[in-house]
Amino acid sequence: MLKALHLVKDYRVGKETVHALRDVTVEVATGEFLVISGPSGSGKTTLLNLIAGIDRPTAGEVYLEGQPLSKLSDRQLAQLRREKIGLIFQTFNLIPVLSAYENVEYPLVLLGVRRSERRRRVTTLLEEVGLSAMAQRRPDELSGGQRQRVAIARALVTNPKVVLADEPTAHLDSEAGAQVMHIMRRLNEEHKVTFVVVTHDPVVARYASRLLHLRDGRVADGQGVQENA
Amino acid sequence: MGAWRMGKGCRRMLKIALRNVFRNRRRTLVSVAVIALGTASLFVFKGYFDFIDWGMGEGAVAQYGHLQIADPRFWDSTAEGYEHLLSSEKLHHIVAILKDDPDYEAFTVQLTFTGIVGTAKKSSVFLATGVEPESEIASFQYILSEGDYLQPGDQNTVLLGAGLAKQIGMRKEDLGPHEGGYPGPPVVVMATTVSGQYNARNLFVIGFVETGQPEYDARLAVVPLSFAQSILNTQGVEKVIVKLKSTAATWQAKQRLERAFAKAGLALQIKTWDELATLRKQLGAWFSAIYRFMGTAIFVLVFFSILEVMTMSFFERMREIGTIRALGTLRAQVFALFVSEGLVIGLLGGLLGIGLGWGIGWLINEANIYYVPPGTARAVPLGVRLVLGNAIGTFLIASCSTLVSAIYPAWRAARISVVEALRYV
Repeated sequence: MLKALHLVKDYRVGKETVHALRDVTVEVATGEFLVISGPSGSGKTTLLNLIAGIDRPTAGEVYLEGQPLSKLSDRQLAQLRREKIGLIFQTFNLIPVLSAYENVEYPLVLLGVRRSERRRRVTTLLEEVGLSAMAQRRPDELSGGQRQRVAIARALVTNPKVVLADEPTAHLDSEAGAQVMHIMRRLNEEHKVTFVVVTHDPVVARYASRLLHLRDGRVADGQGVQENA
Repeated sequence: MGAWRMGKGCRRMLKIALRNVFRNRRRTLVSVAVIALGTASLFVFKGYFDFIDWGMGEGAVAQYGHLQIADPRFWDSTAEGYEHLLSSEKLHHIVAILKDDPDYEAFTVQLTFTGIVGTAKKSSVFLATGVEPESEIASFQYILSEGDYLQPGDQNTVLLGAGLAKQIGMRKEDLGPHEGGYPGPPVVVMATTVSGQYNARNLFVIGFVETGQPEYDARLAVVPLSFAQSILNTQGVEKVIVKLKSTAATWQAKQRLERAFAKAGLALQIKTWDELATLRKQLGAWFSAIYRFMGTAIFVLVFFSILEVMTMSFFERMREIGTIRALGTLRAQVFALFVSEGLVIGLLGGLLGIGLGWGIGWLINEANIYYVPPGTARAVPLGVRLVLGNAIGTFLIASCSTLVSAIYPAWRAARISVVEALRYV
């Protein structure tokens, strides 16, 4: 379903070249809950950005459902993200001026989904993440855990092929973090949506159907390519 | 379908823009206030300039009539002596054509001459205008400060400019009662006839007049046309002054009459009131220059005010921009979001400014304030013309300025890389 082949990503910092990713190959099968762990600076977020199509690799290729992302224009990549990718951020990244309901609804508006259908999908997902009662609250009226649950609902509302989560528990206490991971795992199983989660939190690894470890921009251990995928 | 989606997206963007505008209320209020004050100032000044221009236009029509018809040599001052005078036959022909024009209402004739006027003690040069006292539009341009106007049938009376009267020692007490004889001392008027001979007559001063221009009043005399023709020893007149049914008809009537005179073989030149009112033209150009300067200043003020707000907003919301771009929002939509925010602030400020300006203008008009402009003798009302055209024009300046100033931050927001924006702290 998702393939990242021989990804290399170099950054220029002044006169220095930083090698964020060095020949990383990852394949993800439909319905997987892949957790990519590694210390800070290991290239986890860079890998996620390349898979999401919000950054372009120095070398290598990302394929989503067989489609190479490097061949797509910015506009096509935006369309791909709208239709096939759900994103969950470390700092929740909700739109502050919109309510929880409107935040979840936002990607559907971009997709041009009709109002009645939007209402149905948003309501269902807010129920699934346990936030029906807080639909009209703005992000600053919600706790960290609640915000991340809104972000999960937003990521899933378009029925994406894959949800990419970047350190989803980093800004949560252990209880809220566990709750968020539990919800993500449940939705993964119920909706059969593929999840790729990057984290440095060893607790998150417990929820993985497969675990991959990155160190210094390389796959350190685990299976980058799932043999039975 | 694509356009529909885009439209839906834009509506949501507008909703977000509206909410963002009020996210930082204090900053928005300061920006709106700056724009409103700038817009109100510009609107009030434009209304004030227009009021003066309008007043001067009305004054010019009163002073010059709508049209003045004369020999071309009179207008370009190439006439030798009095050869530019219109003969009575020619005048008769002109009047016949005038009366056929659909916009014609009335006419009068004038004859000007120079000479010396004096009492037993003092004398001074003058510029006299011979007018028809019986004409309804003859004395329209003069404001009587003392005494009476010329009356139909008057032959030996004169109105003196207030300044000229003072120079030759004429006082209010010297004005003779108009009816029942002229008991006061006469003034002596000396001039040369059209054939160059000296001529002198006695005239009785029946009133003092003002034009609002002290320099002109110091030389001004108004006499009956019959007296002017008598002292110059001519039956001719210098020009025909025409009053039309409406000021708006001036330029069309001029063209029609020019064609009619040319067809009749009359070599005449017509000038309109706005061509004759040179001071109004100069002041108009000056006011326009001031208005352009103020407009530019307000434009710059609004431009930088909005630019600052939008730039601060851009940096504060970098991560938000990254997020919505990551979710699949197009660059064009991000651009529209920021431009919309700037426009909302500009529109609010502009509307508030027009409302404020209209209120200030109304208060000024209601206050009945009078002042004496520099170089004039008479107090004039201080007023502000409140017209929709000015409101729209001023509002557009504020709005365009806002739009232009929002473009750069909006462009930056739309162009920033998603990764860079998400990483921004």
